[in-house]
Amino acid sequence: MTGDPKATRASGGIRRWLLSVPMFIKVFGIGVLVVVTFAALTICWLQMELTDGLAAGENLQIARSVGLGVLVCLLIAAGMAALLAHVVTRPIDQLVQAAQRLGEGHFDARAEVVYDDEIGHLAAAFNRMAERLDEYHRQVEEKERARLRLLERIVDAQEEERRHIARELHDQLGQSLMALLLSVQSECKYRGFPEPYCANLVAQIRGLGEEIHRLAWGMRPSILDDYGLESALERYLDEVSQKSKIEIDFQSSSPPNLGRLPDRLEVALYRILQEAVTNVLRHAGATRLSVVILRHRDEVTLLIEDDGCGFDPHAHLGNGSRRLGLSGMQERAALFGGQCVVESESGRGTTIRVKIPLSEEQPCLSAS
Amino acid sequence: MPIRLLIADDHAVFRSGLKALLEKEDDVIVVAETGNGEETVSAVENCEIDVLVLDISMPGLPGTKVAEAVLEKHPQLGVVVLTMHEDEYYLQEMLSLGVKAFVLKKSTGTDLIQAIRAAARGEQYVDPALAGSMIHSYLGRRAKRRGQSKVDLLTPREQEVCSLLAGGHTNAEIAQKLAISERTVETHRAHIMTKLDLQSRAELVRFAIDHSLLKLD
Repeated sequence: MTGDPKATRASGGIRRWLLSVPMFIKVFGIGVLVVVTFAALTICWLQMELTDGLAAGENLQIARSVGLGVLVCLLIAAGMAALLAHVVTRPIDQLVQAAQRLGEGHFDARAEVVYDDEIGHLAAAFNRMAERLDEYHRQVEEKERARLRLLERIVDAQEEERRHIARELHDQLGQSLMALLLSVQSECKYRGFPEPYCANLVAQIRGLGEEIHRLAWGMRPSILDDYGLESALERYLDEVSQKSKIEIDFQSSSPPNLGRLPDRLEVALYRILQEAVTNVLRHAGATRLSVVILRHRDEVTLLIEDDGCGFDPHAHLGNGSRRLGLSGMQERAALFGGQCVVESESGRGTTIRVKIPLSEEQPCLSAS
Repeated sequence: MPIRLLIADDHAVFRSGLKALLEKEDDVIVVAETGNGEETVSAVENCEIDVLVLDISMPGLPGTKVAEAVLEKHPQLGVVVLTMHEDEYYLQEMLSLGVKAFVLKKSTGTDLIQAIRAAARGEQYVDPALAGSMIHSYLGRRAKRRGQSKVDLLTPREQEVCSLLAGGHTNAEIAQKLAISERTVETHRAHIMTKLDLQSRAELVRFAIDHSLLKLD
């Protein structure tokens, strides 16, 4: 087909406009069009009749009342057309609204089945679909809750075991070793064993004791339970900075000081920090690490920033261990309804931002 | 007059070893031994003692609570803490309760005897192995406190940004709060860090705390 391209475009535009006109206007328009055509035909006929009548000298009054009658009929017809349009489009409108609500994630959205016609069937089919979706969504939510509960139990069990092992190491094995040290010292002193031999023995036992202490500490530091998160973080970061020669700066939101948080939250934040620091030491090549912990009225924020090489958190999470580490941190935060976000860019360091809400149900012990 | 001693430690083998070691000293007698916190508190009441050698980790009442209870009634009693805990937090807490001496179990031997003698004389004694970490943390705290009033170097807008950055907000959040672009926040941040000669967010938070710019809601 060859024609004026402008005209084609214009006609295409009109077609698109016509298609986008609301259903109500379309039905109403067609109704009005039918009535107007019918009325116009009637008027033409009447006019012919009247012209004949007037010519015959009949009263003009009749013509007026007939005209008025036609007008009233027209108005009534327009009203009927509007009603028709409403009747046709209402179920569709409702269906559209229900679909929108469903799309926004309201899985309880249902369409009203107004008539038992095609639209009614569509609405019923929509409702069945929504029902299935709702059910599926409930199942997914239930499974997620079960997964979190399981995760929580695993984490709790792991922490309990670590605490137990740390205590056994520290309080039993460590103490027995110190008792041994006492006996050796007193034997050496009062039985006159040679001095270098004794000193060597004592040094060896002390070395063993330090090894046990280090092991217990790595399992679970006792100051985390006894003095809380702030002290434990400070001590841990001190140790890391001495070992790694990386410059570490730690600041908590005191005054007022951080105070004690719920036990499990303190452990979770401590483990998140450990994981983050391990990642920094392993991958970042950073010279400086900054750790900030802030306690807001209804939230705790932990910020871990390094000046290392950074990475693109959206692309790939590097090798397996880093990915596992990050998702472990996120899971731990999720257990408390919090989140752990990694902001990083290649060459511009990394910021790990952990936010945990403090709910009313978690009574926070104030610092002693 | 020999020093009358009470040994409180839940580990029986350690206790008897300690007793054996101490009884070889001429100026010390072990009057009693206890294995938990409650027993210790009542033994202090019943036996006339000069020095209490106290462990921190004990079943029931922990050592810190024992020290608190005992020193409340007998502030003059020489309490020597003998513990596995090498952390200065325990040391600080015990010293603040009025404990005279703090010795690590691994240093038991001459150190403990010196500590007991010092406590009996009413003097203080801290295990030399802990002196290093005490000095380290003292100097660290001193260095942290050294903050100068540079807050006037910042424009009011920069002070606002500084306060929000210290509060842990992201650049995007700050941009939204102050109705400025993220890039502008980034610029403000760079200026603040340069003007105040700060290297990290932790330093920024410390600055904000020192200059009352930190607002936690």
